[in-house]
Amino acid sequence: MYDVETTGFNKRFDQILQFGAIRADDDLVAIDRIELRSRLLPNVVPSPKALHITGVAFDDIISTTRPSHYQMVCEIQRTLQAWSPAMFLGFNSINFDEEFLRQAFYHGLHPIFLTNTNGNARADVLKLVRAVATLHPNVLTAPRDEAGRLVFRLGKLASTNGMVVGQAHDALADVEITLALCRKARDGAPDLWSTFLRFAAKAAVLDFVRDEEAFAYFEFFGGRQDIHLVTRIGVNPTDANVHYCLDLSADISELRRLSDVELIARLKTYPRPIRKLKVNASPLLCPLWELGPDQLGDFTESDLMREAESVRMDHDFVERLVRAAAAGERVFEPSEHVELQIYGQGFLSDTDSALSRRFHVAPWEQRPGIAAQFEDRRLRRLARRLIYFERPDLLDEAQRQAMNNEISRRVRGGPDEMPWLTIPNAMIELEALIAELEPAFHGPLNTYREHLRARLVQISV
Amino acid sequence: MDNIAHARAQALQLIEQHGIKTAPVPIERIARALGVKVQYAPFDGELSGMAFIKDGVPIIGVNSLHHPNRQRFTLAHELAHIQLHRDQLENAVHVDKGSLRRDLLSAAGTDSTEREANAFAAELLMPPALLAAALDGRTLDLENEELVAGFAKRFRVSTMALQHRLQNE
Repeated sequence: MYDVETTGFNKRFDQILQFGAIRADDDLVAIDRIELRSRLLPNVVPSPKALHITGVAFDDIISTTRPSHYQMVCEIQRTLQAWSPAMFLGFNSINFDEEFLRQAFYHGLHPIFLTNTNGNARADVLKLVRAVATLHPNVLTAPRDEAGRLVFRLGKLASTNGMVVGQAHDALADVEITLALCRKARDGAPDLWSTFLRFAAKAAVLDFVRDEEAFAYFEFFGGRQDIHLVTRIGVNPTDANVHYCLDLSADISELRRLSDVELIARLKTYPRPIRKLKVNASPLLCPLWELGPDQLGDFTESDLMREAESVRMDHDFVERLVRAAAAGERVFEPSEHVELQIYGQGFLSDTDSALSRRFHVAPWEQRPGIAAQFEDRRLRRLARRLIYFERPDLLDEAQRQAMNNEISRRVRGGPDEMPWLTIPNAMIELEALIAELEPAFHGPLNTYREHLRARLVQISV
Repeated sequence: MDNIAHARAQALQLIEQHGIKTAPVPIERIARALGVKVQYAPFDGELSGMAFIKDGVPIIGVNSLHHPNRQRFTLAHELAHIQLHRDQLENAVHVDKGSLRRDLLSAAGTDSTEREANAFAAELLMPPALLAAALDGRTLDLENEELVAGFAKRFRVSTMALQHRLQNE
């Protein structure tokens, strides 16, 4: 189980500052642990809000006593590799920690899919906790906010459920809480725990959704845990990990009557008849025969199986549904920024994989030569940047100056909106935060403000 | 009837009792119908699965890190221990590590309960009637990898399990 603390919430442009992980056996007994920190990268401007939440001082994250980001990433990679094959768990990890970890591996020239390839699997404890708290509130209680909505924040969950809470937003303390939540779920809701572990592997999900005529899909949306009774009808043509599932409680006769254009419009309205199931994101699934009457609602298992079969046999209807669902997908233009090019270009070639392995073990003096040999342009750029961060003396003066200028432009920003946090925008965020917070919290933020001002002056010169 | 033949007969009886007419055999559903709790967990290393009785309830543990086809074979194999060797499970946890592979590599060295469990699992996941229906009078060329893979996919077993099953018909 692992957790990261970061400079902000932007998974492509912020960085990991702290990584904590506990290796547990299949009885959930901790057998090893690791905690790593890293120094701030020169091209990252931390979010004042993130610094305030994690309680980390700016002077600390720029301290040379911290390892560099690359050193930390290499150590994470070595440790997780040594712990494999394993199941990698985290709290809200699929959307947050996993993405930060992959991005860190990408920038560090390591294989990005470590947690879900080569016999490893990954799952998100937040999904488990949401399902357990909804279906078995006696096992885990989710606190409610002032509006009465369930709250699934780690610290609040821990205190509500009588767990010992360490320092909030400390990576290792958060992992301890995640581990404790897993133990509670395992002991109090063993069937859900087993389902959660079963579908951590993409192969198991694919196998299940292809084979079961109809099944239940647990989805948390709009503050509510829903159980959709669905049948799989196809795959997103641009993302093979997204499978389209038709909700069998929808008015299927009505859908059949709609024209192609009407169908596209109907699929965009709530309740959406098609659920998107990401097979590589550890969905919670269940065969219909395991559900009780409460969960089946107005249906019986045989009704649903018959309906599913009639849909799947109607190839023309299925084709129209998949086409309509695909037509409603957002299309993203390829980005000019290397950070945003992490996906969509497939796995690395064998040549580049071998080169990246050589890069990590070669003396630094040889690394610029290796970097120039990468076939993948993204890797050449990232390797050059990495050398600049670690050993700028190995670049020639022109390359060094170009990198200096690129970083100055990045943190200074410009008239256009950038997809990362610039110093001017950090200043705006900081002032708003100071206005909102009690004076007792202003000290570290004032220090950070001075640093930002000094940096602006420095890059202007 | 020797023990292997008995194991096969027990598996076929389950196929009949549950009215299984098409592949793949719903192995998990059969296990649940027999009152067995199936639990998935990421076991260490090569550990495929285990069977034990807790408070009178038979429980099968399956390694969630293994391929689904291997998980199905493990489930069927552990179900065999519950159906055939229950008396031995009452006081012990039965643990298996890649039993089919071990059996293939060293048939003579594997103990009789493991051979019975493998025979039961093979019969349950690839019953002769369903195999015959799938073959439809043809002979499966075991050298034809693509064809074997297609059949294995239909039964949701590994190609190795299918080849082993057909060679031991």
